[in-house]
Amino acid sequence: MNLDDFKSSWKVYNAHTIDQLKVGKEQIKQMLAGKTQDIVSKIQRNIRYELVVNYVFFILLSIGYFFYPTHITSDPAERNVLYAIWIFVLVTSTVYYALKYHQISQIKHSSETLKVRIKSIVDTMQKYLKIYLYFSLAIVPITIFGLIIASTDSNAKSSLLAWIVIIGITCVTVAIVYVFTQWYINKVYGNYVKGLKSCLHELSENEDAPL
Amino acid sequence: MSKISESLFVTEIQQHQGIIHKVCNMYCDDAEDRKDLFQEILLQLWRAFPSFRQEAKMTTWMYRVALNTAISRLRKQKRKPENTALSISELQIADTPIDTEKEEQLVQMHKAIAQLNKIEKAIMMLYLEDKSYDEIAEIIGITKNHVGVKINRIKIKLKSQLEAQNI
Repeated sequence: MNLDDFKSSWKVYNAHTIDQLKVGKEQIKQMLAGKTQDIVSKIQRNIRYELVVNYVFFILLSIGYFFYPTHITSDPAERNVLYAIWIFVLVTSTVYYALKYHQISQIKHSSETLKVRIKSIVDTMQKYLKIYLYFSLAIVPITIFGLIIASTDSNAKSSLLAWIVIIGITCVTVAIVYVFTQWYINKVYGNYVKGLKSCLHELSENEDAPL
Repeated sequence: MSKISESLFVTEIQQHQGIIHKVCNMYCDDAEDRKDLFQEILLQLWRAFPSFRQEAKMTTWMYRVALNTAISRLRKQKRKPENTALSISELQIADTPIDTEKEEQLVQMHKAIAQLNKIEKAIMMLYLEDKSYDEIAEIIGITKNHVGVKINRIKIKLKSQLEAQNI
């Protein structure tokens, strides 16, 4: 059976199955009330959740700072340093989330041609995942460093060994964060981006080859 | 969006919903997946509807959004294989006399199409729907010449797959 013979069978088959699957106006309206699972909306939703969690955490820390200061650390100077680190983390992460949000919104809409849309997703996702990795590498160690400093006794902090341990823990954290973030990115988006890259390659190869 | 545009949109979708079903059938393994993709395409069409310009054909625009959504969606990880083909029983069409040999050939052809990659499936579907090379190029975003090259390659690929299956 060649393709041209197959065309008529294809049309008969589709006409039959579509008749069985047809949905009415009410069903269409109901479906329109649903939530989209599109990559852009999904990531933007996650960014909003992460931002909210970040602010809730900061509010809890502020409650501790203002109402239960000695529970954090007995040294007021250390407490202020710790709080300043948290404000820095909050401001930086807010800028980071805004940047990520903007980055993702650059993806072209699905009414563009297939090639334009796929290229736009691949380019944006690659930039987005780089930002994600670099930010995680920068912000997590700063946070861990702040927490260790705050929870370490003032006398202990005067010893060289304590500082070696603190820096050592921070370095190990950076390594763990790097491995974990790479694994996470690969697990969630790795195959997705790889699949789209192969689609893009398929659309780009030998574009001007003779018929 | 206003109630008028919603009503206009729903009417248009109802009239051309076959396009969405065809795309869902091409890219989905099971009924649940098809239902999810159908809704996703619908939502994407609804979102893009205000920017739809009348100079493009409604069906061309719908194919574009539907194929974009099907190909670029982030699927949940499944253990099931992505390429599943129809069985003879799924292909049996009531009131359509098709002999057993032809039925078997149809199944093999569906199987061969299911083996194609996502882009090839899109081009093949548009080709089987008798879309012109110009329209396929407009939907996919490649040149008319490239569409021709692709179709020829897909034909060769399908032919060799069918020969391997002794059809």
